[in-house]
Amino acid sequence: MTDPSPRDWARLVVEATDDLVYVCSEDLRIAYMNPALVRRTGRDATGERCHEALHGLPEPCPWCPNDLVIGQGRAHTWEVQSPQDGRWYHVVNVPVERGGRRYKVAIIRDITARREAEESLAGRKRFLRDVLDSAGVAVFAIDREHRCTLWNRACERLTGVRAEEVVGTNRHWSAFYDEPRPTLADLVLDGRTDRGPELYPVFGPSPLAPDAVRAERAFRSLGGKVRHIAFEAAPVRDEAGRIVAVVETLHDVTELKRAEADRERLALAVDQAAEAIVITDHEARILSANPAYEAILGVPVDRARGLPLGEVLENTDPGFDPEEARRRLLATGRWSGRVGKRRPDGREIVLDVTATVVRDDRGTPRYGLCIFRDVTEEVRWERERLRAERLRALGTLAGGIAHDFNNLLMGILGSAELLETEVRPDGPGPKHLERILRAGERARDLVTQILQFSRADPDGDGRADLRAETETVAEMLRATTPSVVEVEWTAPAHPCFVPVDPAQAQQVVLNLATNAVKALGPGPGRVSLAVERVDASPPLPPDLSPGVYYRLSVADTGCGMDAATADRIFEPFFTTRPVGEGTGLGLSVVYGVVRAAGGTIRVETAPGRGSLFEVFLPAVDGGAERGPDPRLAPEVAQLRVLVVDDEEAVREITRDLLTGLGHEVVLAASAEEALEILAREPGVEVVLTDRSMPGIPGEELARRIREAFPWVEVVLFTGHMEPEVAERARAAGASEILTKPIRRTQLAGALRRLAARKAAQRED
Amino acid sequence: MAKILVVDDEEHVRDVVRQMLEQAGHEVREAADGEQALALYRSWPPDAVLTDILMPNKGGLVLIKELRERDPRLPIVATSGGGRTGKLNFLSTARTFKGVVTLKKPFSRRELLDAVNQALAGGPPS
Repeated sequence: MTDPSPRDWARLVVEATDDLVYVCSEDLRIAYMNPALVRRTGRDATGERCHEALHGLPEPCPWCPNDLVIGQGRAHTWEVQSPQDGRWYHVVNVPVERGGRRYKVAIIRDITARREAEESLAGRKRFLRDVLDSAGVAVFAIDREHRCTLWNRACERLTGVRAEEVVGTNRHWSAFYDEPRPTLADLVLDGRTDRGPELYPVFGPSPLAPDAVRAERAFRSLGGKVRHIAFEAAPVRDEAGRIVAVVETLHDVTELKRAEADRERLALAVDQAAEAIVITDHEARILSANPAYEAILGVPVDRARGLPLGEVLENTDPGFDPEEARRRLLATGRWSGRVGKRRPDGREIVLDVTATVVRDDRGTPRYGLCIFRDVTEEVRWERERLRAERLRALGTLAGGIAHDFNNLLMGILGSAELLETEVRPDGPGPKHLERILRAGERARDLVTQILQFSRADPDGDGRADLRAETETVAEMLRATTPSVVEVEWTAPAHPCFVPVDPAQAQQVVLNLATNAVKALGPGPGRVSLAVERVDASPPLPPDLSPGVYYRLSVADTGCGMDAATADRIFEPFFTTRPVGEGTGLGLSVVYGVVRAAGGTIRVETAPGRGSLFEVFLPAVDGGAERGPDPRLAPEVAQLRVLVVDDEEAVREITRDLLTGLGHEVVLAASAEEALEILAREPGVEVVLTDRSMPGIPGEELARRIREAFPWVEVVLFTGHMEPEVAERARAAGASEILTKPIRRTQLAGALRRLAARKAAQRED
Repeated sequence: MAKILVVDDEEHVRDVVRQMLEQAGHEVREAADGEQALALYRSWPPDAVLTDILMPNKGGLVLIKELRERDPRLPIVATSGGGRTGKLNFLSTARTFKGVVTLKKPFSRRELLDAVNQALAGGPPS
């Protein structure tokens, strides 16, 4: 057996193939059909016309390529769907020549299956793109060369960058950043997710896809808006597990973040609010409260949780009806009012309360929101203000009555005295007169005390050392009270001078101290006297002008008072003691003395909790911290002073003030006289002159003095302290400008400064 | 002994004071306010003036000032039963006039005579 020849092989192949092969002549007759075609057509149609045998067409096929293939001798490959069976065929036509005749060879393959497969793939691809484009999530993808292969509609809308601008390029970063920078997808592709934390403020593994990552970042402008975006990038792998693409989704979380920030801010505000803010359940049991709750109510939030809102603290206001408040709250959804409470540490507080019912969407009450504002101090100050106002009004009234009473008493007592010589000494007359006189004397004492209460200006230049006065009284109390009474005394180490006559200061201290002892009753107890310097802290009572004060406090552990009593104790003739045991004037006199000295008094007390009286008096020594007081140490400031004024009365008063301060004084009635004296008496160091005098005015005098006697300091008095006045006076050489009327402290301060300057000059 | 002008808007006060002073041997004329007092002062120059502070028609302080302008050394006693308003301490204001003796109402005969004598002797000890 020899191998088949190539020609045999060719025949074998043609006969074995599934492809349909035939040869047709120039006149369209089939010259050959292979077995596959015979099987397809059902018969061997050799010799028949090809269009009839193969397509059942009476005429040549409209698509017949014979002209091209046979006519022009060119091969032709094409695909055609048969109208006969609807199937697709791949056709190869090749021209051949045999024996001078030309033929067309046709090799036809049924490609229907392939065509269908191809078409369904394209459809799927289109479908997938449509799905991605319709999705509400912005998605883009890159291939393994970092080229953008997908940029869906949502991504276009979110970034404002169209797919055409980035797809097929590696410029997808430009949708987000001004400078080239890897996106999350690029990091995943390069296996560089380690750089995530450096590039994104929030970065971590994705909770949904196994080797995907998640990041967040805010953009000042993305698609024309401020946006906060959450990214997720996930690798796409082939069967071998190699990354062939990375898909990245973008979520706009701007609103979410804003709401979160709102919530955080709100939480922070609630946390740090000065008001206590409480959330309760619908039955008013506390669910949560902010730190101010503990600060104001004195109860830790953990301890209050679960308790009914109104029952954490004891109510101190008997007029407050919690049930009524609750009814109103449920009826109207809101309640506000003022309540008094006692803290666990015993302190009584006053709260302004606003309660609101919080309802859900359907209107069902879910929570209660309650806000407490601590108005204890405000209420107290308001009460004190009202009390002070009432006392001032009473003072005015009492003052008026006192004036008329004194005139009446003058008539009664004077006439009684005059009668003394008229009545028969042996009759009952002298006894009656004696009674009139005694009653009149008592009335006089009462009026004097009322006047003490009502007057508003300080009496003269008295000054008392509160330290010494309280020490004396404390010693006296120790000596006179039973040993069960403890007497405490604290005061600064230095004297504490206040502008009160010493006798009156002692009256104030003694009055408060004896009241304190009486409040103790027969049992044991403690009376504490204290003096301390105060300025702004602790806050001064609101009716005091700013400054340095001494606070005299007298505290006892006695019976205390109710609010109604405490409110009236400074009123004249108000007394808690049995008739005949007290005049009811003691505290009103204390009040009058303190007010007249520019101070104030207040009381803190409650039944069974003792009383604390606080007296604030201006520190005339500046709280002993501003160096020696001019009134205390006139000797260090002794000066020879020439007083110039055309009014004698003013000269006299000024001289008295100056000699009282320890200075030597010379008087002059005019500027001329002053200049004469200065020429005659070189010892004069300071000239005090009025600004407006007939002849040479004060400024001119100052100028002349400074020219002729440059060692003499000039102090100018003026009725009106206007800026230009002060300026002119300074230009004229005056060292001090003081306002009229002349006040002792003002004068003392000015001379002290001048003396210090003189001393410094002498040292130079 | 001395001619004393008594100034007070209350008649019963003037009466009592006049009698006390007259019993002590002084000659007394009365005025109900500052205007009257000044008029009387011109026609009947006194050795001393005793005046209330709070009066209608020229109060005591103005009277004292005007009397002092006429006679800087005139002995003066200022009396007062206290301020009507409680705002001003008139007696302490009167003290700023040199040599004026002050006397709080109501006063006894002894206090009155002491004050007048002190004024006549040249004012309060300084």
